[in-house]
Amino acid sequence: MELTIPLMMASIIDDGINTGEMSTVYRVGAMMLVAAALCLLFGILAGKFAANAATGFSCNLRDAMFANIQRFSFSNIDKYSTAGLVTRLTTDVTNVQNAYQMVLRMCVRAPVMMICALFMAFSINNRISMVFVVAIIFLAICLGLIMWRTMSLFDQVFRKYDDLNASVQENVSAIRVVKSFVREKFETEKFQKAAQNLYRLFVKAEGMLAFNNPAMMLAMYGCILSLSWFGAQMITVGSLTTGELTSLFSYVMNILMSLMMLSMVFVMITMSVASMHRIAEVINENPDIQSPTEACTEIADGSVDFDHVSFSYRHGSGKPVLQDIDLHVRPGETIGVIGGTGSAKSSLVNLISRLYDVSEGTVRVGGRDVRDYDLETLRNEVAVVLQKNVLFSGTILENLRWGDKNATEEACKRACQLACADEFIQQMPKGYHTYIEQGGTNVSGGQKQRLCIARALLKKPKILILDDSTSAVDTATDAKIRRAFREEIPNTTKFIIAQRISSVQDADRILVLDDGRIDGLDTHENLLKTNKIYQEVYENQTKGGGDFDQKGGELA
Amino acid sequence: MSETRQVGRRNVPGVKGKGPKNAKGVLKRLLAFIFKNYLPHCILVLVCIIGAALAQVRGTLFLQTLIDDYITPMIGSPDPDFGPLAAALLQIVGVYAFGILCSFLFTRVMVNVSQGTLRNLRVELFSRMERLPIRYFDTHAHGDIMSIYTNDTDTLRQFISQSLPQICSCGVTVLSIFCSMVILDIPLTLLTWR
Repeated sequence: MELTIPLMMASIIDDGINTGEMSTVYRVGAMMLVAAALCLLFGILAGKFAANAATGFSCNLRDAMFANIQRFSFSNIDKYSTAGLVTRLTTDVTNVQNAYQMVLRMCVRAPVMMICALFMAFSINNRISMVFVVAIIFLAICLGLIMWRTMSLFDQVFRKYDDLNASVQENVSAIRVVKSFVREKFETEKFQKAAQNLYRLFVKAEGMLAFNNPAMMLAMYGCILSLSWFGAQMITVGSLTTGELTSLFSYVMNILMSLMMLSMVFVMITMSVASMHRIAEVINENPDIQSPTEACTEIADGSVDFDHVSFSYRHGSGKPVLQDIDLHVRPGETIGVIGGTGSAKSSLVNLISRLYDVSEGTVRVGGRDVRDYDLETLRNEVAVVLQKNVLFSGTILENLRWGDKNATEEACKRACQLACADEFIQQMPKGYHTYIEQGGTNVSGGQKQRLCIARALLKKPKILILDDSTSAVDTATDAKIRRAFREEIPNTTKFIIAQRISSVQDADRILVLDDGRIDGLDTHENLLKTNKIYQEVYENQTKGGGDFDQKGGELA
Repeated sequence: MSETRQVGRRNVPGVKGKGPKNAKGVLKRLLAFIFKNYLPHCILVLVCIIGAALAQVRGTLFLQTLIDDYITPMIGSPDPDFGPLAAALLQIVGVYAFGILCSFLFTRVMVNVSQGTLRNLRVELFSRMERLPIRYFDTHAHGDIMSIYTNDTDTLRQFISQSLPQICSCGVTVLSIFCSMVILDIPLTLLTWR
């Protein structure tokens, strides 16, 4: 539509004004009005559809990334860092969305307009239109150069963005620590440095892009000047009429307007190429730990075997965290795990549910290698209560149902009674419908731990792992919980990692770990007689008078 | 653990499709923030915008005189004299060069202004945030707080570096074109502006 307007203008000037016929002018004028109105309508519709498409696209991107992130193993997440993933989900997707919207709106219109205008210009006069071609080539070279230089700069920019977000995230989630150590000023300075770095890089990158504008205007003005010069010469010779020259001028405007739009699109695309790479990385990432193709979907029983297992967090690096672990646990046994700080207790039990894969040897559950099981089945049957307990925002019941989606309220209450969480829940005004804030900030540490134990119990697992989860619970409650385990779920294999001897001493067997190796595996009485480390720990803990609610030296 | 705790999302004003309640006030505050640190830059940018727009208008005016003053007299004459045309073109080259310089300058300076403003905004946000009581972090979802640093500041970047100069530049262009139209022919001008 827009292209017909200059043509009509030319005909108005030549046929109407120059010959003095007003009726032609009116007729063509009316046609021009209609053309302009149609142009407006189509433009509005195009804009609306483009916006729809762009936001839908960004929604799909975010969905795809999130879905893949859920499948990541811990090592995948470490590769990208949490802040990196957040930046990708927010800033990068927004960049790509904007670029896509621009591309949709301009990328059809601009080239079409340009080509049609060029065609019209050539149809008027071949020689003079060569000027346009020269200008376009010149512009293309300039833009290519600029694009090439800025793409790598923007890559760096987004990595700095990641750092910034990491800083923000750390501070937002650990604000209590920051405030208790009065480190606000230090953190602010740190952030200021990061922001300054980002600023420098961004200015460098966008400064490069700013050259795009003068290049375009140079081309445009050059065209106008050459048109004027050569046009004048051709008119005097008679190979061009003034009307044709005027319409050529408006074609210049058209072509250069579309070039300007293309250059804006190109600027947005440059900025978003870096973003696109980063998003594609996440979507294409294959999780390190996957279910095998012909997975077994049933676990026979709760027996656990470690056959000469070695493990290190970074495969092939330095000293292994676990060395030559050989362990055989019968179903229904309760195993206590004790060891100094850093003796790899948590690493050991993380291998059972395949949160990490072993470097050497095999871990078997129910008689089969854990790598043969379908991940979902395996993790459903192995319930872990981790050291760092996380509750999600929602009511207490909703949190408990993480263990079993279809648990009835009675089942939840039962589990809470076993975990000795029922009493404090009943004291809350809304009881089981109390809302837990993000991160569980409105429940104490001990309450969180008990809720997590209840959550794990609801899963009715074959293997239950308690990783130092009674550390925030006093000894009497701890004893109650263990008794409940003994009586209610005798067939579940239980691993109890603890620092207190009193938590593990009535386990069937106790495993003593030292620096990644097994130091002893026996009952409490035998270990007291034969194992040096165990004796030391026991003496230290009982001589110190034990807990305030425990008479010195006596067992609960 | 108060009972009047509100969940993160419900605390954020203006969510659910309604814009901020005080759009004009917010805009004024934003502009004040930009000018506080970058006033000389902004003035330079304004001058450049006017310069670039004027150059463009001068160029368009030239096109009008091109046909009437230089080309028409030469039609039909056997030995046309391109001297005056060449001189006029040279003059226009000067004007255009000035326009290009202005336009490059203003784009480049705007980059500094917008990125600098964003940086200042982020730093001020952060230092404010550090001083907030812990209750704020308990009642607002972490994601909301973080997205302010990323999403919201990014949208501002577009506003400052593209929309603002665009508004100014278009305004100046419209104004100068109007003036030149008035100079050329008053009746037609009145017709267009009805």
